[in-house]
Formats: sequence, structure tokens, C-alpha cells
Amino acid sequence: MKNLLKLKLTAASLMIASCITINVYFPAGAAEKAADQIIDSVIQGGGDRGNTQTPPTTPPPATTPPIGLIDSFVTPHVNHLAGLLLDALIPSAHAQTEMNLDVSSPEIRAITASMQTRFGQLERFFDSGVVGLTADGLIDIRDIGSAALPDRALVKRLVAEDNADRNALYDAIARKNERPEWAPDIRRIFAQRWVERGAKPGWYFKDLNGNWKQR
Amino acid sequence: MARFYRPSSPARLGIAAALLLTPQVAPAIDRLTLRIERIETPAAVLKDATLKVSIDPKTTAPRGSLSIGSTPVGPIALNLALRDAGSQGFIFAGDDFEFAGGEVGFSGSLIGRRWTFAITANAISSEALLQLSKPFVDVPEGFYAQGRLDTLLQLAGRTDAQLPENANLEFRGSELGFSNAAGDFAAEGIGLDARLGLSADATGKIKIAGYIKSEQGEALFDTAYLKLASHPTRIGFEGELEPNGLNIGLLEIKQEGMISATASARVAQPGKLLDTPLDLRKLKIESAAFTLNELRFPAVYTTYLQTALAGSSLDALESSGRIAGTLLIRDNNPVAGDLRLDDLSLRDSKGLFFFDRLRGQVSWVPEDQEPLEPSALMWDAGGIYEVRGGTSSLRLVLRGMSASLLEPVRLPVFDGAINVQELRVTDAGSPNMQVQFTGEIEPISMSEISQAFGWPELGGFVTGRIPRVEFKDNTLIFGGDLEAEMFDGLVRGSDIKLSDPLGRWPRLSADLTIENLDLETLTSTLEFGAITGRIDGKVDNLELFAWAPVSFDAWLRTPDDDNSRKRISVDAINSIANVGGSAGSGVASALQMGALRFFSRYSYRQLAIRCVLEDDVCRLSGAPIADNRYYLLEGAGVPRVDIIGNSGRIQWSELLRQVAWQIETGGTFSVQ
Repeated sequence: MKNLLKLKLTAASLMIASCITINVYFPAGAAEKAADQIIDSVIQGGGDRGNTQTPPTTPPPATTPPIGLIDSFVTPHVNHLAGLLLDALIPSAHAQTEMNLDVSSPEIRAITASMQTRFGQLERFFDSGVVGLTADGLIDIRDIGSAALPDRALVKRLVAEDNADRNALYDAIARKNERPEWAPDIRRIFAQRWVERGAKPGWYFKDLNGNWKQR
Repeated sequence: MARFYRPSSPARLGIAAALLLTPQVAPAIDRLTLRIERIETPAAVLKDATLKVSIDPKTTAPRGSLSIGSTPVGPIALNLALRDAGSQGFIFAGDDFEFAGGEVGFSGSLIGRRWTFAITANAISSEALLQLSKPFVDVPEGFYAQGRLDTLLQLAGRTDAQLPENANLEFRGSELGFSNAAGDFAAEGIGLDARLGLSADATGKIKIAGYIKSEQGEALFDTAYLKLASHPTRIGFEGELEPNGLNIGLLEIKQEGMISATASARVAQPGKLLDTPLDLRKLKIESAAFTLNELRFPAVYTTYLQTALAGSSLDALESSGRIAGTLLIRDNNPVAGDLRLDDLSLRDSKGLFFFDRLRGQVSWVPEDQEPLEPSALMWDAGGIYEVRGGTSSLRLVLRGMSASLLEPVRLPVFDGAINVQELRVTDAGSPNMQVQFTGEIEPISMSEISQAFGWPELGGFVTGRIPRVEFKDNTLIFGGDLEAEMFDGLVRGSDIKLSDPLGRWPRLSADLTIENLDLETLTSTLEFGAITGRIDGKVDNLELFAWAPVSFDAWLRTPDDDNSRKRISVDAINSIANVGGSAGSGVASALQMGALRFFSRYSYRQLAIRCVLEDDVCRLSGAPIADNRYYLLEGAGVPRVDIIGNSGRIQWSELLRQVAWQIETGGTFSVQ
């Protein structure tokens, strides 16, 4: 609704003046959905699911259509035409109404797969309160003393590796959407969604003041 | 109320206790009772102490009792027995009493001006010992100890000296543990045998000597995790206490199967030793000279380095071999070293790089010095990713935080080599780190490269020039173009940047120009099918993430001025049609029907393939005809074969998988 209102306002102001400034807002709602999608695949993925390295087990069928791709090129065409039309009418507001957060890039998939594999090892340390989630979308050691001694070095390693992945993930999402300046917002949304969606009851997270709280 | 002045060592407490028992107090008195309301010592406050001494009328030997109403470990009461050691003095001993959960007994003597004092404590709580040591050692908040220790403290001295002449402290225990508040400086199940001896000479110098031995338990020091049963550890030391530090003449460190080293060192602590509680965290190694007899891999790596390197590309190494040599430390930092590498092999388990049997001498000197001789290294094999190199050697000058190659070096790669003309690293490890590199590629067979990378076997050679390379902001920037001559043509990489080269997610960006490749050489060894003629191309905005292509805009097409003979085989037509989305044996069988079956090769006017990769989708196109149709292959002459594509979107990962499958099986594939 809000966006639509802005659209109308923009269209109206176009008629009055030809020069307007358009602010592109961070699409928080879309970011939440995107974060949920990634968090779900990190948590639920595990094992071999989502592994794209598997070679095809059976050869493709031998009988196939003749030269030429069967591909729907009509739909993008229509979309494009509609886009052009919209552009002509309300050129600058176009971007605003379509604003979305795209998390489907090979980089994002590769990082997600890496986090997914590691989550298999990290989960029990979240469960036992050894590690927790931070307000800047990373993870931190909360009480290493409650891990068995041989596990403590492992925990340190997993936390360092996971944070390297998490930082790379937020950058990759910002980069994918060609909005490097969104990285902090993306990080914030992920931090919230990890607590609200990813964390099991009993997991620890840091609030904005840096205090540990339990979900 | 008696109040002891704060003694500067536990030893002074011993003297004070001995003086109390001196029989010279009053020989004529046969009964003495001394009540002390409060005794303040650095270790504890004692209240309500009563010492009673009486002379046994029969033996004339003094007997007595001591009771203290309040100590940190509860009330203490014990009997004392004093024995006359002839005319010169006394020997005394106390009954065993309970202390800190264990049993404590003491004995002493005073003969002439010489005195001795000994405390044995069996099975006392290490936590209580820790509390008692607080005045002398700065124990961090939250630090705790567990387990029981047998301890022995022996002191000996002269009544006219302020400090005892000798002190001997021994600890023995099993199942000991400790931890700091954070839990990352901790140990469990430790078996310990330790001794510390101090002795003062006539000039007042205090010598120390001792050892710590442990063969069981496990310990964690930040990122280093040590299993003592696997690496039984003995640390021996000899040295001298100085007013504000410790001069260690000989330190011997032996961790079986891992480290054997000796060292001399000077350790400083802020404040005057013995007067200020010792804070281990504030100790500074002013200088140390280590002689490493042996550092054995993989133990050193897995125990001390691996976790510290987590998140970098060095966190998953398989290693073997040994390092020996010397290492100098100033102000806590290594500043120079002379290391001998003995068959050191390093292999990244994720396949990033490897070195086999690295050996030689590394001589590293401070910035302002010249090494006596340069570092010389040689290895049997080494490589990055699948680029494998054979035996090679190089000579380097390592000075401070910089390294430079002494002379050009030839690094064999497959059947060719990379000749490095210049390699210079300055400010290594700092944000200002700079790397300068120039080199040349001696012809390397494409067949070897393609085999290594699991590509279809390609013919021809790679040769070229590697321009100036710089490292800045965690990014390798190629200052010029990287050129490789291959397939009788030229491939040029420009604007090459590699960010986070040693991190988990390296990203490479570059633009490639492909000039005038000979298709016959390129395709001669491929299952793809044979093509003659030339090809030009461009790959704009190529981006590899973790070494997999994620986006590019790639063009391959017949050059406008290509006058060479342009022919294409049925197999190749079929392959191109497959890439273009047609599939199966349809094309091949169509070309083998009727009159066409007499032709195994067809002439063509142009080949044109464009793939714009984005989001794992390759938008395929070629030379536009009209609408959304394009030529991938425009035929020429009679009979003429064209391959015409429509708007095509191909799943990139699917395409790679299918191509790999085709190469393996020689079969056909379809892309939808």
C-alpha cells in the first residue's frame, strides 16, 4: 500500500515538475523472506540435500525434439514491453515498486551449502548454550566452559569459520542486488530472523546491548 | 596485638615462626603461654593464636601446643614436640593436622644460627593452595583449580639473613584441573610432577632451578589443544632471579613426538619481583634464543596451529616432516631465525595447494641486517589447485617483514615452466603488504592442463607473460595483461583481480580477449568433433567465486578476416546443436540420410556462440538473423548446414554436468 501511494505521488509530482528525487528503500519484508529461506536451508538442509555436485545417474533420453529450443520467450517479451510502457509513463518510480531482494546466486548457494554442512557440527553447541547468536548476524562463544575440553578448540574453529561464511553471505546478497550499502541492513535482518525463526527454544542470543538472552 | 610486617616472601614467615620457638626466650621459665589476637600475613589473617610451651620436668625437653581459632581453612590445633639437639639448638616437629582438606605436618630445626623448616602437605586441595598463593601470584578473577596435591616445602637459612638460603617446593598430583573464567585456558585430568628450587649465594643472587612434568590429562591454551598422554611433556629450567625479572640460563622443552627445544631467555615483569604479585599475563619476553632440535609435523600443526588458522586457507593441512633451527625473540615477537626444513610436506585437504618434501635452509634476519647466507629451498613437487609443478629450488633473502628472490627461478609446471623474474614481498602481514611479481610461461601442453583440470583434452601449448602483480587490501591486482599463447593464437586477461586469495571465498574478476585461435588444434583431440578455421572471442566481466564461474558475457565467433579453410565435421555439428539445445542423435542421423551421408565435413561461413551467464543461467545466442533467431553456425556452399537457435536459456550447472557426462561416456546429451 505504502509503495502504491508513493507511486501515485510520484506520478502526480511528475506532472507538476520534471525533476524529482527517488529514494530506494531497503526492502525489509523481502529481506525477511530471503533470510528465512536461507536460514531454513542451513538448518533443515544438512546431509546431501542441496548438493549440486551429484552427476546425473541416468543418461538423458535418446529421442528428443529437433533443432531449436523449446523455451517460452513470449513471457519475458511481454514483461519487457510492459516495462518499457511503465518506464515511459513513470520512469523513476518503476524501480521502487519492483524492489525485491534476490538471494539466488551461485555465491549465495555455495556459502549456504558450506554453512549447512557446518551446522551439523554446530547445532549441539547452540543447544547446549556454548555458542549463541549475535545482534550483528554472526555467532559468538557464550560459555565455552560448558563444552568438553577437546570440543573447545573445535568450537573456536567452527565459530571463526561460520563467521567468515556469514560475513561473505551478507556481502554476496548485497552484491547480488547491486546494493553494497545494504549489507548492514541485511545483516540486521538476518540477526533478527535467526533469533525468531532459526533459534530453538533454549538457544542464546545477544540483544542490542550485548547481553545474552535465552530464547 | 601482634602484627607482622608484610613479608616479601613466604620464607620470612618461616623465619618468624622459628624465632618464636627459640629457647633463648627465658631458660629459667618452665612454662610459656603466648596469645596472639591477630596475625596478618600476605596469605591469610589468623586470629586467636595460642602457643603453649612447657618443659617436661623428667626429660627437660620442651613440649607444647599451638592452636589458632580462625584461619582461612578453619581452626587448627596441634601438639608440638621439641627436642634438644645438644647444646647448640633444637629440633621441633608438629603433629599432622588437617589443612585444606588434606593433612599437613611440619618440622624444623635451629642449630646455632642455621635453621630449617619443612612443611609436607598430603592430598590438599589445589583450590586452597591457589587461594593461599594469591598474595604472590596475581590470580585472575574466576580462575579456579581442582584436584588434590601432595606438596613439600623445605626452607633453610640463617637467623642473621633476611631471606632463606635454600627453598625447595615440590608438587605431585593426579586428576588435577584448572580453568580461567572464559574456559579457554584450562586443563583436566592432569598428572603433575613439579619442582622449584631456589638458592641464594653469598652475594645475594637467587638461583632457581626446577621442572614440570606431565604425562596425563588434556590442556587447552586458547587455540592450542594438547593431549599429554600423546605428547608427554617435560619442561626443565635453570636461571637467576633479578630485581624485576628472571634470567633463564637454560630452558628445556620436550613434548614427545612433537617438540624438542632448548632456550635461554630474559623475562621481565613490571614491578619488583617478590614485592609485587606475579602476573603471568604481564610477563614480557625481553629476549629469548630458542634452539629447536625438532618440531615434528603433523603434531605441531594439529596441536598449536590449526585452530589459530581457522577461517583461512591454511586451516585444513595434512602435514609431515620436521623443522629444526634457531629462533630469536625480542619483546614477545620473533625477529630472526635460522630454520632447517627437513622433508616438510604440506597438502591442503581442500585441494588448494601442496608441497612435497620441502627442504633447505631459511635464514631470516632483522630489517637492518644482512643474512650471512640467503635462504635456499627446494622441493620435489608443488602446486596450486591442479597446476602441478615438479622439483625446483629457489634462493631468497628474508629480512624483517620483506622477502625477495635472489635470482630468477624456474618453476616446472607439467611439461613447461613458469619463470619467475621478480618476486618481492614487503610489509608482509601488514595492511600495507605489497607483492611484486613478474614472470613468463614456458610452453606448457594444453593436453596436460586439460587433463589435470578434468577438461576435455585440448591440443596446443600455453605460453605467455605474467605482468607485474601487486597485493593490496587483501586483493591481488595484476598491473598489466596476462597473456597466454595457445592454439596458435593469443588469450589475454586484463583487469585481473583476485580478492581474498587465501581466504575461504576467493573472488576473481577479469576480462578475457581471445584472438585468432586455430580451431583445428583446439578440437583435434576433443570428442567434440573436428573444426578447421579460426576463432576470436571475448569474455567480459568474468567473475569466479571460489573458483567457479558465476557470471560472464562470453562471445566466440569466426573472425571477419578469416580466409582459412573453414570446415566442420558431422560430430562437431551435432555437438554445437546439442549446446544450442537440440539433442540426441537427431542431427547426426539427419545428416546421415540421403545424399548427405556422403559428406563427413561441411563448409561454413561463420561460427558464433554467445553465452551470458548470470544466476546459473546461460542466455545463449549467436549471430542474429531476425526476431529471436540466430545462427550458431552459418553454413556455406553446397550442401549447406545451418544451426539456428531460438531464444535459449540453459541451466549452467546442468550444462557443465552434462558436458562432463558426455566427455566421460562419449554419449550425447540434451539441455532443456
